Amino acid sequence: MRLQDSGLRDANAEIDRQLALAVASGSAEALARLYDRHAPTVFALARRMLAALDAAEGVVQDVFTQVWREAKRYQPDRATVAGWIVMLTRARAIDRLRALKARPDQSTAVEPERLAPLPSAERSPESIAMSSEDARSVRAALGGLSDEQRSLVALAFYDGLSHSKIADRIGLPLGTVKTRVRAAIATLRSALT
Amino acid sequence: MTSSTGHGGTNLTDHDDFRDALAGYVTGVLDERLVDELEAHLATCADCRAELGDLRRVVAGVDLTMDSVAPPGRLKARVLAAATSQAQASGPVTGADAPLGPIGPPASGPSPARPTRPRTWTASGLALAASLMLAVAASIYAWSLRVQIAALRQMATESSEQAATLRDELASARRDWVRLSRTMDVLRAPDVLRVDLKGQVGAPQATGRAYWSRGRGIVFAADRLPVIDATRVFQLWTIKGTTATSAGLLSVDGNGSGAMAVPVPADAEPPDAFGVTIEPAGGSAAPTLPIVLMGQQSR
Repeated sequence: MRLQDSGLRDANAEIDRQLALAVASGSAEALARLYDRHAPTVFALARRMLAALDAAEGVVQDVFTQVWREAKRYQPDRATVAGWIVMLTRARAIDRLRALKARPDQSTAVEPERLAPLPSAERSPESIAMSSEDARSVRAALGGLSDEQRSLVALAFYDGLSHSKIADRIGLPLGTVKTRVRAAIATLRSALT
Repeated sequence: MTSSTGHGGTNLTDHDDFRDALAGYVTGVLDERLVDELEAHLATCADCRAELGDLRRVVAGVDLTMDSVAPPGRLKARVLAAATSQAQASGPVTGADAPLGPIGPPASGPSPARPTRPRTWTASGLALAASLMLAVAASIYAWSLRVQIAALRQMATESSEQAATLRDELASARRDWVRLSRTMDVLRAPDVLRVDLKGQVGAPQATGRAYWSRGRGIVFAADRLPVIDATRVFQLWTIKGTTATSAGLLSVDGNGSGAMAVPVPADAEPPDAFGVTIEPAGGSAAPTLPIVLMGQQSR
């Protein structure tokens, strides 16, 4: 027997929510289950943002430590658990980036060309089922972007490049880069409304 | 006007500057000095706060489209041990420190680890923990019930389709059972007559056998009947004197074999003979040629 995809998504979100509740009550086992379900996404995002493997592993530890510490503060009406966890991941990866910038001797400069490209609209049903409603909407919108827009989003979202650095890298005027990034974000945002 | 030079320049001077800087703020590329300016602006600008919320959703949505990568297996034990050694926060908070505002004011260090204090339990604390555990258990149980209900609904949909098939099979089985019980009734009847039928001109290899019982019915079977096209049928007749009465149409399989069981009125007279003819589709009121099987009752 196979549940409908939407039912599976709902069930996955509900499982996450119950696990977060259990973590909030002090269940280490529930945290381990959340780790099993979400660590691969956390690790992928951290590796995408931080080239260094040990830094990415550090982000995984930071994120699940924060999940443990702040599970009681998680507000289900504001985001799915999956959405909350990726937001934590980005925040902690940014922390690490800033810390690394402050210690240039331990440079982990991102080299976008050796990193995975921004994913297209294609994904496996299992991973889709793990995602939030927003992720599915954004994924569909990503599929509608041009290759150039997707590259700009990747440079801005994952490679830690400011608009001016993006402009330098791809040889476009700063104003053009800003306009195009803004348009791409507007397209993605409109998918959420 | 704009003077941020793509998140990395001088100052943010108007609302549009701040709005443009939000994406860099969310993705962590905004210059440190501008972060302070932007956060001060956010404290007073509801529009920018709303836009910031939207941008976070966009970025989180894009982040969730990442193809997952399994972390090293050794990492799990280390992460779980480090995490659960920390004290847990006590309850909901609002404002910039809320868990869903993690991308806002960045943490001062690379790790969320903070000084811990030993966990001590009081009686009321234990009671609270127990009630929390009960609440969690109840929630998990309720969730598992919802999942089961969803699964049962799906099964019910599939089962209703299977039920329709089973109903058809049951109806067919009932028809078979009625036919079989009627056959047994006829064969066990004390007044049963048996008539063997022989192939006639054009179908010499055909054979048949009929059982007849007043009030119980006729059971008839035939083999090696000739092949006929779909516009014609085999029809069984009972013959009394010079009168032929139709006993029904005989369905035949690809081997020329067929069987039938039909009722007979309680006041019917025993027939003198049985015959099978080939008739137009739907049968005839009176037999026509050719006759393929014929048998007389031996007294």
